[in-house]
Amino acid sequence: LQVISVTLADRRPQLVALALAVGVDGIAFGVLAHAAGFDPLPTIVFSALAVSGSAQLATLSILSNGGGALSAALTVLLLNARYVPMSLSVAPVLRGGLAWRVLTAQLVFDESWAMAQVQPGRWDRRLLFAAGGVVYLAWVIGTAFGALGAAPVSDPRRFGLDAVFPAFFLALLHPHLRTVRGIIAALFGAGIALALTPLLPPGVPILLAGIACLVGLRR
Amino acid sequence: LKGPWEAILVVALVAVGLRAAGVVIVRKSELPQRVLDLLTLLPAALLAALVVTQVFVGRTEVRLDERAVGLAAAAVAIRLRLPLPITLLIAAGVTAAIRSVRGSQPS
Repeated sequence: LQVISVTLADRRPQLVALALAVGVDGIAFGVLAHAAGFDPLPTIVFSALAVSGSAQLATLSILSNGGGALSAALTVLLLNARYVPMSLSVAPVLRGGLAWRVLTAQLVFDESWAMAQVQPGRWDRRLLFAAGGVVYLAWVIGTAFGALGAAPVSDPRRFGLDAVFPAFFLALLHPHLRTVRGIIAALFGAGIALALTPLLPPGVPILLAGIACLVGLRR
Repeated sequence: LKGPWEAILVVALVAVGLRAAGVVIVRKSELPQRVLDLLTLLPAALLAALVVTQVFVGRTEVRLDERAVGLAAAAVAIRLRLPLPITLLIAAGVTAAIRSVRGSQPS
């Protein structure tokens, strides 16, 4: 217990940054949805249920361009396919009945999942819950602010907010670059993602970049 | 836009289902060592992919713009072990500054 509480306290600055980054991103999504003509209620419900910035933005643009629910669903299926291996990796530490495990698996987000890996191949349940809870609340509250027109931001790009998440992911990536294998996996992952970007629908290159972890099989 | 509810519910179902898939597939409390070896490197591969696709990609094409400079500034901040909130502010600030100097171009 002592060890775990130290872990959480150590991560407090990270959790604060997480809340800020996700909150701002939520506001940006709310503003965009508002601008696209979405009512606040469906926008907020969308964030509360789907909790995925990329998936929700893709849906927004598909609906705005006259697309339907099916094409939005298929796009998101590809866009978020990486969540399958991610949820698989935390599955061993999620306890309880199947319903509870499915529910707690909903706290797997890119950020919470990356932050909760405390040892190679080992995820901390409490850290996942803490970071996942922060992401969930910040995302929904931020969306509400933006959707209700309460945010002073009209163009998130003007404030460079589109650079916040890459910077966040880079900070999360940093500790993984301590080993040669980590560096190789990162380089292959980045290379695969960029090489496939012009060829495949968004999201698929990220999923396939996961293949880069196969370098782990070489002893 | 009328009735976005159908799309919202279907997309939410997909998002929930994908996150649920892993725990439905894996019921054991321990994964084989082979799988652990792979999963250890999965964050490095996926995080690197997320970074580059959010910095060097426009709509669907690879492109180089102000975000790259913001990311480079963030890399320096991370290297200097600055607190994460400061690092994020630097990334946004540098990107916004370069963008305003260059004049905003439509993406």
